Parts: sequence; structure tokens; C-alpha cells
Amino acid sequence: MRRIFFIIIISLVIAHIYGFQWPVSDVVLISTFGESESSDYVKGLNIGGKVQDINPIDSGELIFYSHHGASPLDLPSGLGAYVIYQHKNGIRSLYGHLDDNSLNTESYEVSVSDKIGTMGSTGTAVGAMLHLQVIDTEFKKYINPLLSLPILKDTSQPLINGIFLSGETGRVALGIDQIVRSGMYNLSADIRDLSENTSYYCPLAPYSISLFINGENLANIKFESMLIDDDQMVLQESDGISYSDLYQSDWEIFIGNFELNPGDVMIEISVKDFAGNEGVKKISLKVTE
Amino acid sequence: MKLIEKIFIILLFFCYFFIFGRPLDPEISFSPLWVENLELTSVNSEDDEDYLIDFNLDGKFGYLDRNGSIIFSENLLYGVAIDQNGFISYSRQNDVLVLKDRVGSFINTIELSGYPYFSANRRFIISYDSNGISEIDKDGNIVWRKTFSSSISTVSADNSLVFVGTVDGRIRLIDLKGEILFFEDTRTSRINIVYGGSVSFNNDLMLTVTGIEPQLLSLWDKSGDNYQVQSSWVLSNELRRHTVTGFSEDGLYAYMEAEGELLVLNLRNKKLNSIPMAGRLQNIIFPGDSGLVYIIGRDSGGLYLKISEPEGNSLFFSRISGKEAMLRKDLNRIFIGIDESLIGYDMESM
Repeated sequence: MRRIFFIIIISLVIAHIYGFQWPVSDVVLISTFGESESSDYVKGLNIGGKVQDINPIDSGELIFYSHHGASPLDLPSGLGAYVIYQHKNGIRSLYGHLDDNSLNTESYEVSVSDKIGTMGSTGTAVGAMLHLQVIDTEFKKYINPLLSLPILKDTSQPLINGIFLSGETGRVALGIDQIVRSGMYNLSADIRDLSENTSYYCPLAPYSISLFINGENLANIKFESMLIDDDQMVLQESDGISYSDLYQSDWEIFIGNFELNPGDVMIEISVKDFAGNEGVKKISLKVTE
Repeated sequence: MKLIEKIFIILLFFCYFFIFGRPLDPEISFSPLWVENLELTSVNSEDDEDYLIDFNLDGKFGYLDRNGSIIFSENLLYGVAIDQNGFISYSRQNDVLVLKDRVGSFINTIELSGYPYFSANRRFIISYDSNGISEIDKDGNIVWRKTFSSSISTVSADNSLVFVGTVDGRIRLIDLKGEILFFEDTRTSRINIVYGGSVSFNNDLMLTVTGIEPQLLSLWDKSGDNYQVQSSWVLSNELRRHTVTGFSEDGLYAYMEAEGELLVLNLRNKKLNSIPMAGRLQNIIFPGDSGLVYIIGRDSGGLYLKISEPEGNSLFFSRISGKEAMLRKDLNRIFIGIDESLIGYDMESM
């Protein structure tokens, strides 16, 4: 009896934390929130794999649909055929690249078991995929869907492939016992999380990045939500950093700017993914005058 | 028959025609001028005409002159945005777009990711995720760029102001320099969303379609630097998709593509008329009082051409046997494209 009660309590807690359900049964992540794509942040998730039926992440109401090429007077969209649903608490979800013939535009009210479409390859999609966005209309921001969907099994650590310092004297890829001159530097790193669901190499954005210099936490980047600031999409929890400031290249991320003074310096970068896996890289520097 | 009976019958006829009589519907006649087969004709690249007919049909796009000679023709990659002065042909994904003139000569490259969208004489690039818009000038230079916290549902530009509506219910009017001259966060319905909108040619009026429960067709009046709702109509058949709106060329009417009909608003008496129209609007030409409303629509039965008076009286309806169709008009000539053929007509109403 106590065991059944315990299971019920645990289920309720999980249901509360993971408010939404995955829109497909077989989840293969091919790009994630905050990743670099077409010179901009990805504002949701791209889910690939086999062609599957799509269910809404929560019960809701269809508020917008766009058939791909229904009228030459409609706006062209890289999302192809897409639908937007309104859920409780001002949350909306968007499903893009759907098969144009699969859109369910007859019944506006849907529950989580209703099919709302099928994965397709409309818009910029080159193969069958689903683009999922979660939008908080009250706070006018895009939320990382991984925050509100059930956690996927993931055992691999995020990778830190290289750490780079850029200063007045140029740019250097940091190695073991590197010697650099004192001064102001920008620090960036090649960081990728890896998708466990693909049979091919498919890097993803991580959940968070932290920078420590001699044990002091100097910078944190979190891929939690995005909003508009001064006509640019910025990462809200990361000092409002824009795409062009964050990404030095598709996978090289600017982490912080700081002064290096003469002496021994320990740089530590910690990267976490949504399953809690952590990748850490430490590099010791000798800073000269 | 007695005289009194004859007079009675004549009076009866007179009364009948006086009470129930109505003018005969006008008829439309078309005189074909030329038919051009887009598959066969070789390209004549001399461009000395002011007005060219741009076409995008059956996997080909380009320009013809008024006499039906092809000035330029090219195969479609994935899509094309084309206007009187040039085009951008694009593939499914592009990091760089190429603007060309109407004989296909290179003008400029545009380093933007997105799909081009040309409206009247304005040119825009819509970002792939539909939440960003940039305007480019005739030389292909980026004039301004805006990013919104929600997907763009509608963009229209007939004059100096660009109407941008987003699915979070916000309306913005943007000027030629990219300044937002007017902003409104519509909060009139259970669910706030913008489905369509446009600004009149002289910028005095704005027409919007917004919200769910109620869904409102609203006419806005310019008052100083602001726009205020002058009249609103609750739409009984609510839409959940983008809807085409606009103003007639003479500025006397506004229209909206509603469910199963084109709603035409007479701006003088604020009377809303209906032109039955099944399916989605593909093309519309609406000169206003000086002419008729020309519609190409597509429903489950395929394409059709419909011509009506602005007040709703239907004059012509014909099914079009083809996969794609387009409509252009210049002075008293109408150009109808169906798949690989383009037909120019002299049109007279009698």
C-alpha cells in the first residue's frame, strides 16, 4: 500500500515538473535550442528520424495554420506547413515542416492523444523532420522545450574540443602549460553536446556553460529562454547575449572577457547537458609581463 | 377585350415592372489578343518597355511585353519573388540571395538567410523561422531589419508604410527607414492574434483582421500620428489562417478574404458586401469604382476565374483547367496565365 502511494506521489511530481509530453513517440534530436543555424539561434528543437504522427505537447486550441503554398499571396516561410496551438498559462507551441496534406485543421480543440499532423519536409527541411517551438506569450519569450518535456536518456558528456584566447597579440588555441602575455582577453571554446539517438555524428547545443578562473566563477551561459532586446534575439539568462556576440563560428562560443595578470592561472570550463552530464576542461596558463 | 380591361392589363404590367423590375446584369466580353506558349518561345532580351508582365507559372518565371513577346524566361529552382523591376530566384536553403533585373542581369547579392517576399514595389526577406523581416532596396542593399518575439503572420506594403502583424496579436507600421511609426498590442479577444492587415495607399486607413472570439475585421482611421478603430465587424466564420486584405486602387473599397467569400467594404457608406468565393484567393485585381473585381481562386474543384462588381454582383465565372493560374492587368488589358500558356485579352464591359 505504501509502495503504491509512493508511486502515485512520484508520478504526480514528475507530471508537475514535466508539464508537456513529447510530440512524437520516437525522439531523435538533430538540433536544439540556442544552436547556430542559418546565422541565427535555433528557437526550438529539430526532431528527425522516421516519419511519425505528431501529437500536441499539451491539450490546447489550434490558433494558426499555414499550408505550404496554399496561396501565392501568403508569406513564404522556412517552416513550411506549420501550426500553432494555444495552451494554458499563455503557453503556445509551434510545429513546423509538417506534411502539407496531414494538417488537422477541422478540429480546433485537441487533447494530447489527438494527431495534429505528420512529420514532413516542407520549408527548409531537406528530410522528414519536426521543428518544435514553445513560446511564453505572457513574458514574450521562447522557452527551451527541453525544460518542460520529459528528460531523454543521455549518458554522454558534452565535449569541449578547444579553448581559444583572443587578445591584442592575436588568437591562440590553448594547450597544456601555455604561456601567454598579460592583458585583456576574450575566451571562446568549441563546445558540443552529442545526440545519443542518431547513428551519425550529430552535435547539439548544451544546457549551460560556466567559466572559472582560479576558482572564481566569471561567466555563465544558459540556453533556457530567448527574448527580443533591441531588435535582436538574445539569451535571457546569459546577460542578454545576441547570436552574433555568442557564436564565433557554428560551434565556437564566446564565453567571457577578462584580464589576465602575471602569474599562474587555472582556466576551467564546465559544460552541462539537460540530463545532468558534465564535461569539464581545465587548462593551466603561465601569464608573463 | 374592353378598353377598360386593356388599360387595366397595361397598368398591371406597368406596376409589375415598377415594383419588381431590375436592370439587366452587365456582361463581360473578352477579345483575345495573343496566346504565348511559355515552353516554346525563344527569349527576346530587349527590354525597352515600361510595363512588363511578370509571370511565375508551371516551373517557369520571367517577363513578357504587352504584345506577348517573352523578354526573359527561366526555370524555377524552388521559388521566386518577382516584381516589375527584377526578381530573386531561390532554392530551399540559401545563405546568400541574388537579385537580378528583368532581363536576368546580376544586380547584387544579399547576405541574408530567408525567403524573399515582394509586395507592390517593396522587397523583403522573411527569415526562415518567420520572426524576422528585412527590407532591401532596388539595388539589393539591406535598408532595415527587424526581429520579433513571435512569428510574422502577415506583411503588406502598398505605399510608404509596411504593415507587419504577428501571431502574438501585435501590429506594427514601419516606414521606409525601418522606424516603427505605429504599434498596437491588440487585446480585444479571448485569443489575441493578427491574421491579416494592410494600409491604404494614402496611409489614412488601415484594415485588420484579428483575434479569436471575437474575430474582428476593423477599419482604423489615422488621427495625427496614431490610428484608431473607426468601425469593427465581428466575423461569424472565424479564420485560423492568414487572410489576404487590401484596398482597391482608387481607395474607395477595402477587402478581406473571408471563409467562403470575399468581403468588400464600401468605405463611403461603410457597407460590407459579399462576393461568394470558395477556397483560397490566388490573385486579385481590384481597380475600384472604375472597374470590376477580378479573382482567381482555388477550391476543391480546382482553379476558377471570377469577375464581380464591387457590390457583389457576379458577372463572370469560369473553371480553369490547369494546375496554376495568374492574373495581371494593365489599363484595359487583362493577362491570364494558365500553366504553360499566357493569354492577353482586350477587355470591354458592355
